[in-house]
Amino acid sequence: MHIRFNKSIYFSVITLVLGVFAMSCQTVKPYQRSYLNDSAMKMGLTKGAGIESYAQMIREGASGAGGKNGGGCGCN
Amino acid sequence: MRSWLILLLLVVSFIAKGQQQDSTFTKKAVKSTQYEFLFSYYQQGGNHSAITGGTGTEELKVFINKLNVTHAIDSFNTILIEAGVDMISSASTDKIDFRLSSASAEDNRFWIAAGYQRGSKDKRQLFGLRPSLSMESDYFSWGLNGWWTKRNDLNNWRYGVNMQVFADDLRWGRLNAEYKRPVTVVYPVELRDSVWFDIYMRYTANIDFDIQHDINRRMSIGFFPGIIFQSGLLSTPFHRFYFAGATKAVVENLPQQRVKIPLGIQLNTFIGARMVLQLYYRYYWDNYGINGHTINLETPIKIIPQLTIVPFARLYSQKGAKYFFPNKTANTTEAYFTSDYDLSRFTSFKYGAGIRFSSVRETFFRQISLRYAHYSRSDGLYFNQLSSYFNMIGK
Repeated sequence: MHIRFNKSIYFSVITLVLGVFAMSCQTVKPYQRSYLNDSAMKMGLTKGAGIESYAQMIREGASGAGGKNGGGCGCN
Repeated sequence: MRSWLILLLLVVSFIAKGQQQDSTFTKKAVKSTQYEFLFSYYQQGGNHSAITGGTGTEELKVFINKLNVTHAIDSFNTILIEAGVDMISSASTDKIDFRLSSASAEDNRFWIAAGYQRGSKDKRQLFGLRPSLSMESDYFSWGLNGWWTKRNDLNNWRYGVNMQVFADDLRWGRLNAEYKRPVTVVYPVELRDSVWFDIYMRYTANIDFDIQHDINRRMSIGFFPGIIFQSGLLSTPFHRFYFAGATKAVVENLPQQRVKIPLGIQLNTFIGARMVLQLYYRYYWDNYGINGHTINLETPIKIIPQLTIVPFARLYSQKGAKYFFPNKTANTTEAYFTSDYDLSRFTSFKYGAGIRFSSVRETFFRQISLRYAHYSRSDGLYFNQLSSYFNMIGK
């Protein structure tokens, strides 16, 4: 089964992101960062997920944007 | 009487000594070293090996071992050292020479990187540089990674740029006891009477941007655009390809230039007081004709402050490269062709869970985690991966 990502999905993702942004923006002071400073809120991949990303990079034609970008191995 | 008492107190206050400043006191930077150990077992199956023209076993087992050492010299300067060994056992690689249990069935990948990172005096910027080397029996790679990050004074905006370059030499022979030097690009055994490529180098350059913003006290968002350029020998020289009606294979042939553009966006938010939602979407495009969409969801749940479970799921859909043809379906008029199913049209789904234990005190041990993932692709390829991670600090 192949899933198609058509224009309605693009539009929905973009609208969701902009909606979240618009409704939720606040200036966060340093003493209000108890949730944001949690390690689970860190952007990007954890070490274990990073290793899986390496395998995925080889097994999928696409790579980049937070994962390994290609080069440094014998794979295309 | 009272006046004599006051006079006595005044005299005592003039002759009494307060705390003396210790003239021998010096500021010392606290050095710290962080050790990270990563072990992973990867097991793969499938039936579309590119080595045998898009058919045949893809069984593969890899033991991944990695060590990272981060040593903070002082508040501004950090040394980074990474090293690893991957032990690879591949049933399909055995088919390069069509010999069972030949030397090609097993291989090892060694790699090492050593870097330096410096922070600015206001601690808002970081600069770093990290050269690396990687080697396997059929390639040797040099790499250089540089990065810069900055945050604003409230730490609610963070920016970064990361650049990498690689030069890969795809010749075999360095790890061979007889040669101990690069000799030749490896072709399938029956095709070695011809020189299929007059080059053996591959070059990769990429630049990634990182823009993060804290939307409110519980939510942050990140944007990750990038661009990647590759040139040189982008075909895998031991991949066979069969044209329609052909009994003899040729070596796969792909264009010698490739441009990739990935665009990622991630949203992290606390749901309640114990659960974090990490939602990631990536769009990918390249000039080979591949379009890819990734949706990844991870939900760390804190059972107690030290213990977190992390269920996750990932959905990926890819439109295949215009040069991909299944076994014995392409016309001989095609200039570029491959039967590598990694470049084909497919959908994949990955799911799994992890468990993480963190120390909340300043002790030697910081974190232990275990993670399992199962991945399956619509063309039949699958893998299972079990990973463990240990994080310790020393002074």
